[in-house]
Amino acid sequence: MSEPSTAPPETVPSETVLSVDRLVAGYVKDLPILREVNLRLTERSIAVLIGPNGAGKSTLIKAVAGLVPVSEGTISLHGRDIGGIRPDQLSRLGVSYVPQTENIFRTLTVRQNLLLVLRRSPSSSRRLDELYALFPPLAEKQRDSAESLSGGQRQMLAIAMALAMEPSVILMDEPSAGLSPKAASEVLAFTRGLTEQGVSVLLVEQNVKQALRIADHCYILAEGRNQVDGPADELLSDPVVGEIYLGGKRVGAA
Amino acid sequence: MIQALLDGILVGSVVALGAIGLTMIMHLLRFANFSHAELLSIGAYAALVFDGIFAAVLPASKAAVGSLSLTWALFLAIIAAMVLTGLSAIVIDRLVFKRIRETAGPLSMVFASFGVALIIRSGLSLVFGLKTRLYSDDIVFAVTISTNPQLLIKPDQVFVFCAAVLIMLVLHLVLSRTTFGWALRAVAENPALAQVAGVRLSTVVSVTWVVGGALAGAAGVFHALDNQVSPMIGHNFVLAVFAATIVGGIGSVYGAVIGGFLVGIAFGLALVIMPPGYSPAMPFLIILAVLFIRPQGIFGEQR
Repeated sequence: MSEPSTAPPETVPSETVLSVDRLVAGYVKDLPILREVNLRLTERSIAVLIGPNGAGKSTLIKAVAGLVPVSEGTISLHGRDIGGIRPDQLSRLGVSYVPQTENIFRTLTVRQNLLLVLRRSPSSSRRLDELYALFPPLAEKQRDSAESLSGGQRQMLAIAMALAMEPSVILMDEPSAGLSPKAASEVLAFTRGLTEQGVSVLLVEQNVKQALRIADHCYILAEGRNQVDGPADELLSDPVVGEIYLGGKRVGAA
Repeated sequence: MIQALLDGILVGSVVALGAIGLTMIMHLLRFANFSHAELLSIGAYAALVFDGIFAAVLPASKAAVGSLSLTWALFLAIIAAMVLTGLSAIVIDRLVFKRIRETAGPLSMVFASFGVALIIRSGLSLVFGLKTRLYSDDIVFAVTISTNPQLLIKPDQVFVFCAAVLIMLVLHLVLSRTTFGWALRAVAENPALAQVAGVRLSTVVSVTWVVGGALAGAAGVFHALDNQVSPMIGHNFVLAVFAATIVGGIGSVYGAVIGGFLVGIAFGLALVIMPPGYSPAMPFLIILAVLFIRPQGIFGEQR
């Protein structure tokens, strides 16, 4: 077994939706924030990215969304290299991104926000109805300016916009940030529910323990590099990881 | 006084049309485009040329529209001039600004815009001469609409005002009712999110140049219709258009419209209270006042 003669090609490549290999990326050329990061997201699963501030979590999902230039390495979606593709094309390929803040258009109404995303869709009115059924508060406020929504409703609208094009991958940057504990749990539970509809989610979360409970796999980044990764439940109960990354010794007991 | 107000509103409609494009481009591309007002000159001369062509090709179009000095030929020429000015705006972007924004900072763009302004002004002077021209040599008398107070207005001025308002109304409908208009507003608010929402940035930038250029072209013709065609139109309007943009708040189309009318009215009223020689100082005074009282403008957001 020590000699990997049958080289790395994964035994179950069909399951991988998104893979990031030796990714080097950053906002400014020659100043990489991500230094050879690897990640794999399997079908109908949630992978959570955790790590200290400045670890490169948000940069990683922005790079996948096409918003941060990639200098080395590859990002592939269903085996197709998507590095360097424009963000607007990526959204059509089935990758949606929900930024942490400013994730809705405040100057447009709720309905306009959704129809903007759906404007090239041949069945936009059917899809709009489906989204309203999924998020009833948005239907009630559809003619109101998005600025008038509460924090939780804004997050709902942002997620609805991401879901509008029926993506296969959703990238979420701290969807529970700034929400009440109840709303935060609801958002995370909803995110779990998405996987049952065939969506894979790459999630950045500060709310580590809760995120690990809904996630399948967890990647811990620090200083732009992979530190630890493994199944979420194992990391949640690993005392060493708990102490270093999950803030406190009693994490296992929590 | 009321006459000054009327004249001011008329100037305001021209300034507003010019300011709409400037405010959109300034917000989208984050640079002060000092060549924008030269698009007014391009529009005015384009209409002069197209008017000649249409009048020669379709002699019937030389008939005046109603009681205006405006002929059908010139009416068509205004539309053609808007198209040409819109296209020239995008050509200028491709030739100059696009290259600079890919390699250099916003300040380089501002300096380049001064250069572009000079080139356009000198180019027009070279081709058409420094002498001013008129669309029509017929003298149209102003109609007295009231004797006490004495109020005079030319039919052409009424046309200019109505046409300007109509164009702004169409723009409003596009921005508020069409998905394309929402895409424009989305990009103005948050370009990164707009891209994620599937909007192609370069398309929006191009369309903004075309729309902004077309409106500036119309403004140029409207001004020249009531005055003269001259290579100095752009130069004369550049500060007024900037003042309107700043008054309204950079990035706000509605702000630019209101700012345009406010600046126009301020110009008109300034003539009542101070010698005409001082009127070029008006835009500066307005800009200073806004920067002191509400730096982000009426509809602008604090950055």
